[in-house]
Amino acid sequence: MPEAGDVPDDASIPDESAVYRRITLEWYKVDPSMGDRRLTTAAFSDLGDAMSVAIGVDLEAGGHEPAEVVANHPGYGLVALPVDELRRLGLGVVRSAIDGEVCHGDVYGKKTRSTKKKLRDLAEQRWILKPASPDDDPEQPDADGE
Amino acid sequence: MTAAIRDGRKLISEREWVASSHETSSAVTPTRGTTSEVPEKIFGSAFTPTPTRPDEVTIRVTPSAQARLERAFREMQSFAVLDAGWDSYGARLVQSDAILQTLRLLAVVFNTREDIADPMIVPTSEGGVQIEWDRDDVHLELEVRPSLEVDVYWERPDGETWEGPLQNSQPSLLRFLQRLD
Repeated sequence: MPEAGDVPDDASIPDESAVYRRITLEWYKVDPSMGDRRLTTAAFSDLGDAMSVAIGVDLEAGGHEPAEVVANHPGYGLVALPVDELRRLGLGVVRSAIDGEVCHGDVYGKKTRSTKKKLRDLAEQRWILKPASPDDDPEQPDADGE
Repeated sequence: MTAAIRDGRKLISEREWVASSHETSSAVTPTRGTTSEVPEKIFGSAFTPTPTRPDEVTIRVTPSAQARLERAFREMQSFAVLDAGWDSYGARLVQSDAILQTLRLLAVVFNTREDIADPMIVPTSEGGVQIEWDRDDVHLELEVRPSLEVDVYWERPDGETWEGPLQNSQPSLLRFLQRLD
């Protein structure tokens, strides 16, 4: 596993796993120059000294689906970020359970703008669920096809 | 045109958007003038508003820029009413001053570069505003922090990148916008 230097990193979280981050519709907006919605780099900023995520391997161990991360956050989307890619960017992942989110974790390490752009590009390829938008087709089936 | 924010942050008044097409900007289009003709500052009076009232700021724009700026303002009105924690991770309230600062920044962009598409405008978790362009694999973003400082990041298709603070200088901003050409 690549060294993350002084960045906190829990080696028991495997490289081949993923972490999940909720995405508000405010961060998935129509780009006027493209006419399509896209994800902003602003979705991958620290608040304090780390970026909150859910630890995928812990969700799996608890028998939870990734989509449950947004169960209490109607309308929010969800992206996956591969742990090995985070470590390749010099970031580290640690567990930090909080009330109501036992699989909560933090991604530590400096999120330069270049890093945030890389995280954005990674996440754009790994949508679990896109945020619900007012222009969504109400006739469109939901994730369960109902 | 005058943008106003009432009661701290909760209400940005639309009625202040009185058409003022006679109020044209003194900005000079770079292609028609020399660099020395381009107003030097992006933000007047340092980084503080120059209001006729404590909670409003007048922004001078060209008639063609006015509609674009109004659209941007309406979009940012929605940021001003977001509750704390709006990102589900403890995001801070978006600061009214950051919205007004972004308006000033966009006024310069729209006054001087009519050919550049409107940017995507998003709130940031720390309470600021970010504007972004993705054009032909060129990425340019300007983040107005709650402190009203502005950070710039651009990335070219060949992987070349630059990030750092934006000087309070229109020629400097215009050079960054040229990255989108």
